[in-house]
Order: sequence, then C-alpha cells, then structure tokens
Amino acid sequence: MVVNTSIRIAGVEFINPVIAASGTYGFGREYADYVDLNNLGGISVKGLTLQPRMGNKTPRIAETPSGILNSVGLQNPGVEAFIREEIPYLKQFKTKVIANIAGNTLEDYIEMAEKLNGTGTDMLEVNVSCPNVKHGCVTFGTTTSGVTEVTKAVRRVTDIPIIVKLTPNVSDIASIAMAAEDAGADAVSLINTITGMVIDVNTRQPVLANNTGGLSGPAVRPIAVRMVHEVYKAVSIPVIGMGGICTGEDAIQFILAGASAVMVGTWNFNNPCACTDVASGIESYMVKNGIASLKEITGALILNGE
Amino acid sequence: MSNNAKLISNENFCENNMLMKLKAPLIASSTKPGQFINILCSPDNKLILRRPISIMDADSAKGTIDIAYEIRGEGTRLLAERKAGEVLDIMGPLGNGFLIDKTFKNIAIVGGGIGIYPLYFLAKKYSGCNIDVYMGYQCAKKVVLGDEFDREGCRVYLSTDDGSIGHGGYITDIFSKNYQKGMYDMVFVCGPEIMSRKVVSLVKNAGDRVQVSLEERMGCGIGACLVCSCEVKTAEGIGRKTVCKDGPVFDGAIVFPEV
Repeated sequence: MVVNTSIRIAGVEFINPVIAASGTYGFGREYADYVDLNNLGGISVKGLTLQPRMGNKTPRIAETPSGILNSVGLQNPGVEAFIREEIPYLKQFKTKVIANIAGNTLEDYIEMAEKLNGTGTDMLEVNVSCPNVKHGCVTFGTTTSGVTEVTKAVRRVTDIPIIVKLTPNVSDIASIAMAAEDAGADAVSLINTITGMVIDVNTRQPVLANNTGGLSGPAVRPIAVRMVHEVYKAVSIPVIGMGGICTGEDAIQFILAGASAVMVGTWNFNNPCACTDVASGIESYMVKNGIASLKEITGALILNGE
Repeated sequence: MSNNAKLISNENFCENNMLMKLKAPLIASSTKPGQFINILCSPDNKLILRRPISIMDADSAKGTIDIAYEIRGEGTRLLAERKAGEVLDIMGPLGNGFLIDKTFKNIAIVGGGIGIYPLYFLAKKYSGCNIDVYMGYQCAKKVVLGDEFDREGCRVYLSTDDGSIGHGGYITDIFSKNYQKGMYDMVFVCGPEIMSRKVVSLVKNAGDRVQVSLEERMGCGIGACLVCSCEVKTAEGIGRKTVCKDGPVFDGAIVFPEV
C-alpha cells in the first residue's frame, strides 16, 4: 500500500516526521557524507546564542548505562554566523530548517528572533531547557511564568512558527506546556536532557568537567514517552517527541503517546544514518499495519483499564 | 564514510594492548597518518558511543589497516573480545592527518605510550628522510615498534618511566637534551598531554615547526556534537576547534594557547 509519511506542523510541511535533534547534528553539513539531507523531515540546528559561545571545559561527555551524559554548554558561532554561513547551505535541501535559540536574557531571545525574520528559517525552536549553562535558558523553562514570558516576547516579534523545547527537570511538565500554548507557541518539543552526574570513584571527581550534564539516549526513553503523553493530553498544539529514539518502533511509541513528529538525537552518534533509518522504520510500520497517514495513530494509545 | 570491515586478527600486542588487523580497502587506500577510525565496539550496541582509534598502518595493496589499542575501559574491553572473521561497523578514515612534505630532510617523531602507534605509519610515509624517533613507555613490558622503526631506518631513542629498559625517566628528558633550533624541518608529537605540551612549547618557542595529535573524549567523530572541542589561538584571541574533525592533528603554533 502507499503510505503518506508527510506531516504538517503550524503550516510547515515535513516530508517525514523525523527531525534531527538540536545539538547532535551540527548544522547538517557534518552528516552530508552519510545522509542525503533531502530525506530528512527537518534539522534542528545546534543551539544558537546571540554572541558566539566557547562552551564548557572538556571532558564534555561520558557514556552511562544505555545513555550518554553531555555538557557541551552551547558552544556555537552565534546567530549571525548561522544566518550568514549555514542557512544558505541548508536551504539547498528539501529538509526544513529549525533554528534552536537559547538566550541568556529575555532580550537575547527577542533579538535572535528578530534577526532570523526573513532568513528562510522554517521554524524557531525556543530553547528554555539547556541544563548546561549558568545563565538564562533553563531558568526560564522551569516555571510557567518564565515560559510565558519568553514565548510571548518571541511571538511578538516574529511570524515564524514557534516550537518551545521543554525540560523534563520539572515537577509538572504539562502545566509548563500549557503555559507555552497560552503564550502563543505553535508546538512544543520534549524532552530535553535530564540533569545527571557520573563520578570517577578513583579521583572522587565528576567525570564531566562541568560536574553535571544532560542525560540522553535509550535510558530516558520511558520517561520521555510518559511525558509526551502527559503533555499531549494537556495541550491542543502539536507535540514533537524525543528521548532515546533509535528505531522506527521507538518513534511509533512516541507517536502513539501523542507526538505529531519525533526528533532523533543521541543515536546519530551510534549510527550516522539514524534519522533516515528511523524514517524508513516508521514507513515499514505503517505499511505493515495498514496506516495511510500518521494522523490516524497520533495519540492512538490504548491505555489499560480504559 | 561508514563501512563494514572484516576482522582479520585481534591479538595481544604488549601488556594490556591489542593489535587488530581489518580488511578495509577504501580506508587502506585513502588514509593518511594521524587519521582514525570510529568503531562500534560491541556488535549488539551494548555501548552507544563509538570508540576512536588511530590507524597504525595501512597496506593499500592488501586492502588492510592495522590499529593498536590499550584495554582501558568498557569499550576497548569489548573490542578485545572480538574475533577474527567477525564484521566490525567502522567509520573512517576520519579527521586531519599529519603533514607529509617530501621536501623535508630531517624530522623528529616524539611519542608517548599508545601515542606512538599512529607515528609508525607516519615514519613509513617519511621513508628516505632522516628520522629521529623518541619513544617513551611506562615499562619494558609495553615497549613495542622499536624494531619496526629501526627497519624504517629511524634513529630510535627509548625511555621508560621505571627505567626497566632505555633511559629511566621521561622521553622529554632525552628530546630536550638533543634538540637544537633548526635541527628538524618538523617535529611530530603524539602522546600524553603533559608530554605534548612540553615538546610543543620547546619547539615552538625556538621558532621551529611542530605538529601535534590531540586526544579527547568524542561523541559523533565527525564534527557535529562539539564534545571534543579544544582551545586554539585565533586572529581574535582564543577560539575552539573540534579534535575529531579539525584535528586530531594540529599545528603546534595554534594549540596549547598558553604555552
């Protein structure tokens, strides 16, 4: 049967529901030797800040059971270099370009959104969830008032559809998602990484130079699926799910839980073709189960005892 | 590029170190000394991250590459269990290698421990050149490649930390004693950071050229995740480069900005 893997979020058409997750895919060009970028639904680029950032000291990564802990600290060339050097490259492909913006201050978010107007950026992913920087960012994302403030401010200065990327390091992620929706977000994406620590027992020091980092990979997947479902029930805007997706079936879990699209992150390090492999896996599942369009199964989870 | 490579052999090299031969014709014919491959150590994805290991030798006629590695953590322990005939998922050749300049007449190679392995491939590419090899190991049980460097016509200086063979102490002791400004067209370095810093500082401050291969924990291996970033000197001050893609080999003039 012919299946349609394309999806639409806030009027933006993606050829398939798989988006490379911010921070794991650079600006896309790094993977171009391995993947035809035309076959990717979208790319959420490395988190951008207003000024270039050096990031944290190394080591910045540690392998953990079924996961990785990272603390890059938003190293990036700054939003202007992105506009000048990366957007023209990315616009050669059919993939949708999502600019992930992370501010130290409210003004940073506003200024970045303004600069990205008219650049061909398909969507903004407002990053209020990076756990590895000292100022801004996740401090906005852990309260409903912070999320409201940032989302409203960005909404005011741009017509580019806005995704708000949520942190799982909160007690009630659904209320945070509702705040984003009420403030004008077109979609939410979740989960960013879970804060963690690994200690070297011989040196008695944390392995990461930054002491703590963000946990991602298959280890976090059940938490992410549960949170996507909670958020899906609470909001009416599309939910983009991520957290440890390695295969098409992993992605289907998120879609059944309520995700309209998924992001693949950590697994790109294991398999540079992870995004397109997940997209093929989703298509195979659709064919096997006679699903013509993903809309049919978005949120189609059947809870026990209901 | 991502490749499947057939494992030809995986044997003890020296204490706690393994030597692996892989059939990888595309890599064998295109790789340069200093480049590495990024290996999935476990066939069942028990570990998520690949492990980057430098290429120690390549035979383009036979289509094979050699890598040598120390069993240090979970990844290398799993890699040591892989058997001949198995197929490994590898990416490579990755990164930027050492400069090969046929006009060079005199070069020095300074290596410490496992850092010596990729320098063997480099020495072979400089065959015909006067090569001084300074190699420092922990102890006699770990000393390898001495005969191979000899066979390439290199003059070999050897040290061990415990003095069990060669000079007792660090290889930088011998290098510092021998080295004079203008003696070498290039000094190539790979090994522990403390050793590399010392050699880079000495040679750079004398006004000679030095290239150094750096080591850092990596994520993607292709310059996307920025996990293996290192500080470099730039026109504007201090900047950052990726060890996996911009390196692992860097010009000594830009790394270790403080020396």
